[in-house]
Amino acid sequence: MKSPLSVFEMSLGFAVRVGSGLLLLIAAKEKWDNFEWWTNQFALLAVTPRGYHAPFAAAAVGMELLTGALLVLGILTRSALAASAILWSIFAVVLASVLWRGIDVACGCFGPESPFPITWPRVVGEVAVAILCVAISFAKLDPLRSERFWRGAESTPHHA
Amino acid sequence: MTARTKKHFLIGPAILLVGGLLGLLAHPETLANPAGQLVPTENPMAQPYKPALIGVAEARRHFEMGTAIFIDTRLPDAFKKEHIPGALALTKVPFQPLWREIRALVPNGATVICVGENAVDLNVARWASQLRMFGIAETRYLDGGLDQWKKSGLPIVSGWDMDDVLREAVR
Repeated sequence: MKSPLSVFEMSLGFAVRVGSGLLLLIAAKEKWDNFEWWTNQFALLAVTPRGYHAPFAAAAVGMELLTGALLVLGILTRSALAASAILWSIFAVVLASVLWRGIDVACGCFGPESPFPITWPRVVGEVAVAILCVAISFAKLDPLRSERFWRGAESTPHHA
Repeated sequence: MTARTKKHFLIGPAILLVGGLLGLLAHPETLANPAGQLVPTENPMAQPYKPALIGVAEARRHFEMGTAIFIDTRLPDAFKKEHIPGALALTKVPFQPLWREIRALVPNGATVICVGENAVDLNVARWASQLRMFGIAETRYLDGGLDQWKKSGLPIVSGWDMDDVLREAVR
């Protein structure tokens, strides 16, 4: 019998893993498709050494793509969640730094058509996602168990 | 922290490292040209560019000669109400500049003249400066804005006439 609590735990683990992964994949795809634009946008954030922003912009897309893919596919899940937590924390620090320095620039996190401005609630949201990723990564509940759970089988072995 | 948790938090950064390397492999040109294609080497935030004013008469002369292009930096509603004939709107949705389209529409070497509402519309200088960051080197802004253009008795048109132009730009 599945208790309501375990249903909640499994759903939360699944939602955080797949949700975070999908967000990273969408963000990476938009930047990949508009790479020249993203390089410019990244330069405007002014968080890398002068004149060396392009490799950092390329590396950021690769990190998002790989972490997102691992999370969605459920490969190396806990480690990918840890990587995801680090990424979201970096995003939060970058956005906070942009706000703190009063740089008037669009976020560009989800491509040129992205309607999201850089705001403090946005920074708080990114920190919250990072904390959730760390929590799920540390938690005893297995973020992968959700798939098996919905199939009706428990992840712990049953002994006759 | 258990050994297992430690392992996850060691593999996590390794994933980011591999991802970063994959990103660089996919775009090796960024290593050869770390300053990017369009952005000047100087940090644009450290040295804000101050575009020069251009008078209405000179702006019109350049435009008629085909050596300048007007970009209306006001809100889309203001553009719909009235604008300089042939001017491009910077935004279709408020505060979402059409960077890519504008970049495609501005011929190489052309002067871009940003048009604001009037002499105290400070946004126009900011947009002019940002256009320069997007690789449009020669940006100026119209002295007195649209108000001065109208006071000089020059023609204006109304309505949103950008759809065909934008379609052409993304083609």
